[in-house]
Amino acid sequence: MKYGCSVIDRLAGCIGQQVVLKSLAGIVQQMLANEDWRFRYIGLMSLSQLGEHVELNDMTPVIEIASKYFKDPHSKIRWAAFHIIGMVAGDCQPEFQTRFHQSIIPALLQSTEELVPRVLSHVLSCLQNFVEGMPEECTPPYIEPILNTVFPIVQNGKFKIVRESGLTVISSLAEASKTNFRPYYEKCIPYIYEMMKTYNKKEQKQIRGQSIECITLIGNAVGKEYFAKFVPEVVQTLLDITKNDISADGTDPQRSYVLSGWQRICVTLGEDFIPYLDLILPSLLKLVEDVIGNAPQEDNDYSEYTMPEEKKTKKERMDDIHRVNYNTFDHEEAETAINMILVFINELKKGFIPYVEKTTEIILKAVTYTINNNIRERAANCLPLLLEAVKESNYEFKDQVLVKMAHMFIGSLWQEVQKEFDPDTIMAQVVALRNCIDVCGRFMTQQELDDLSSKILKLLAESDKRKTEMKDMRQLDEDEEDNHTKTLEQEEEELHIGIADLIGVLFKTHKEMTIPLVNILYTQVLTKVLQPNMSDKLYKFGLYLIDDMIEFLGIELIPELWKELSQVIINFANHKTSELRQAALYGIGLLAQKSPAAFGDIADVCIQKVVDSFKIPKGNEAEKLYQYSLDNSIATLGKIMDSHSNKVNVPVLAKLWFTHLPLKKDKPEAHQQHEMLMDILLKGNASMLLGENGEGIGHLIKIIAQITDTKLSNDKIKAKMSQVLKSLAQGPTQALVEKAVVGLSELQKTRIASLLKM
Amino acid sequence: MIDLVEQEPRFFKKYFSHLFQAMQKICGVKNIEDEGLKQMAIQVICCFAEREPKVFEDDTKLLRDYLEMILAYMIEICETPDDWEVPEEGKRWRYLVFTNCVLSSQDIWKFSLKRQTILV
Repeated sequence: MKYGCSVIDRLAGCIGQQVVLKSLAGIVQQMLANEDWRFRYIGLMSLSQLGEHVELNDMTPVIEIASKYFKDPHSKIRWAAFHIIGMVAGDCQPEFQTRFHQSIIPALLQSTEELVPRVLSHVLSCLQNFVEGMPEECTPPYIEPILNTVFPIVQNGKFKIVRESGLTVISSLAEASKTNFRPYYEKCIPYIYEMMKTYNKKEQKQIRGQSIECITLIGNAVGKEYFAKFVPEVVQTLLDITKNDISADGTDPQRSYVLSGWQRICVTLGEDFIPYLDLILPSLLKLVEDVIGNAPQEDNDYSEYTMPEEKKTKKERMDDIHRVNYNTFDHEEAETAINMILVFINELKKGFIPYVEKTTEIILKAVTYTINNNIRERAANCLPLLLEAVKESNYEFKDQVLVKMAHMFIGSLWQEVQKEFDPDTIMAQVVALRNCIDVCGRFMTQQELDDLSSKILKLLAESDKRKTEMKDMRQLDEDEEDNHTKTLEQEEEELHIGIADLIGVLFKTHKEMTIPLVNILYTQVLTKVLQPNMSDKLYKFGLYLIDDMIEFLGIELIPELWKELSQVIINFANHKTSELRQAALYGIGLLAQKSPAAFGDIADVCIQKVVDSFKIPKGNEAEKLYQYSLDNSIATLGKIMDSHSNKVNVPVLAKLWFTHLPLKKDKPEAHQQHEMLMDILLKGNASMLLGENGEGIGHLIKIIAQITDTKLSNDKIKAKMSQVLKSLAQGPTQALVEKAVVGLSELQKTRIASLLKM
Repeated sequence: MIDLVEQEPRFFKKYFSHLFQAMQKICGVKNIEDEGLKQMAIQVICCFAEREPKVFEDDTKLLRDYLEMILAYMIEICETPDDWEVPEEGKRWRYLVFTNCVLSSQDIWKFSLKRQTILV
């Protein structure tokens, strides 16, 4: 069954969703008319698989079909019908939830009258999936009805599977409804806490774990002011469970719930969690220390891992990369513990200071832990956060300590990067290096910077050499599987991009001190990677480097390279690959902002490139990548208008810019552009965008309705949107606003109403 | 055969109708002893489709025949365990089933503030 579904999924992926759905729909229609339940069952199950690939509109008939079978006499058919809804709820969220909540939630609540435990549990899982994807604004009317129906099932259900599924509904409801859950949490927590405290039999471990999850998610949803009164008891019980009730063999389902529970409590309480740190952190640090301290070291049992690279054949090095790590229960425990430490440092920042020294000591050992790459990776992730904790502290000598720690961390990470064989881990280490430097800012001397630069260039050269070797090997060795070496090559190219980011942060933090590095990069690296017929990833690497040079060094520091770099950017601005186009368009925006005087000479050609970039079709790329590129086309237009209003034809550009708004993916760019839109309107230039007779108001209302309370907006923009909306909603434009609101979805209408009330 | 189709799909393109019929025949055999065999026959065609999707895009009858072959196999192996409706209490039950079948390995739980998902 599962295999059959996976094949249909693969077909939809390679042949095209529409084609497969069309053929499948015809066959399934016949199957649903068959008397044999197996035909109807398989027919429904095959449809459940398609939501991931098709648009919600194409799934609407499937949802209608499923709804017809909620009351089928055969339990498996009912199960399959709910399965479809559960799958679509996961695949098409939040659109499915937004459009169907009024019909689906009541239908599911009614279906909890189901008598077959397996099906009832599936109804609840389906409800949980649906609720999980609901936008917060849709949840208020459903919290009470869902609790009224599901809570009695959790309390009195006869079957464990039903009670467990019911509890996850409440968890998801709290998570989705956030602060809207406040009126209900006091009623829920005592009962769930009772489960957490008293369910200590073997067969209750799963549901007890879920009760921990539920209670901590509720705490997270309602916020610390509300959760505070339950915290001491919850924390104490969690400590008791950790100490006494978790079996040591790794099979106890409570374990993972307890650990993620601690993290949620930490995130909920913020600095109020500090008093509890003393109860939890020492045991975590000890756990890590025990695991990494007891391990055999490089020079004995595990010497094969550190065999000098030069002694290895190419084949051995390739094998190394795919060698399975030693991954025991202890290692997983240690990895989990490091993850928790990471969350604690990240949340508590300067509150973590008392533990920085001890943690640094252990984490640095974990960074070099030979036997398990996950541990090395997670440990590397902790280092920049430790620096941040020190940076935010009030410690008198923090600047000196910070520099000392940064040198220590960078030294340790470099040592590992040179020995590392796992590409993902190298990447994590390079990212950690980048973040360490970013936190500390300008802290290296010229000599130190030059040393680091030459190490980075060496890493780049080695990565390049490995890439070339793999390419040669692929061509020479016919037995070698194509995809394997191709993947390795791609991993090297990914590493190139990680290195570009690392170099970028050096430009950002050490400015003019990086000029020697810039010259080497320009003459030895950029000219090579930007040649014709190189891979897209290498072009991306090159463009990222150039963008960073323009952004962080500016024309003043690299005047003689400016023209050449600008030309490269312009050449890529209409590239067929979205990611490259995006990087180049972003670069044009930077050129406009960073070299106002020099931009005049290239303004016309740049504007033409941006205008043309809107016309490039999507092709086979993922929607997300295409949208990012489109967002950057819009943002670049905005930046040119903003920085060169006296040199360009603003009204024409503004019209084009406004037509393409809003941005949909690129969060930082979206915030900048959407705020700029509101500023233009508030400064009295509304007619330039909205027309003399307010023709553009409909589009403006749509933009506002689409971005309000999403990641594409923030509080500042929201306040400005409210101001704009209020001024348009009165006087002569009132009718136009009202007309525009009629065409919006229910959710969008709620958003507009809330802005008008602000 | 699966390896061959993956590595040299172009070779099979010429003779695809023969290949398809052969696999159809395997799937059509009643009471076959080795159930995995039918799965492999389906796999051969799926691997080909992934390498040469256009063959299926251009031929709707072929796609329909293949989908019927898959669905017939699913019906054939469809069975309901005795304790399906009322699972035995005390048995460790893995409760969440909304997973896409493309997920081949069990996802280990991750640290996140999100609700924990156990994949079957």
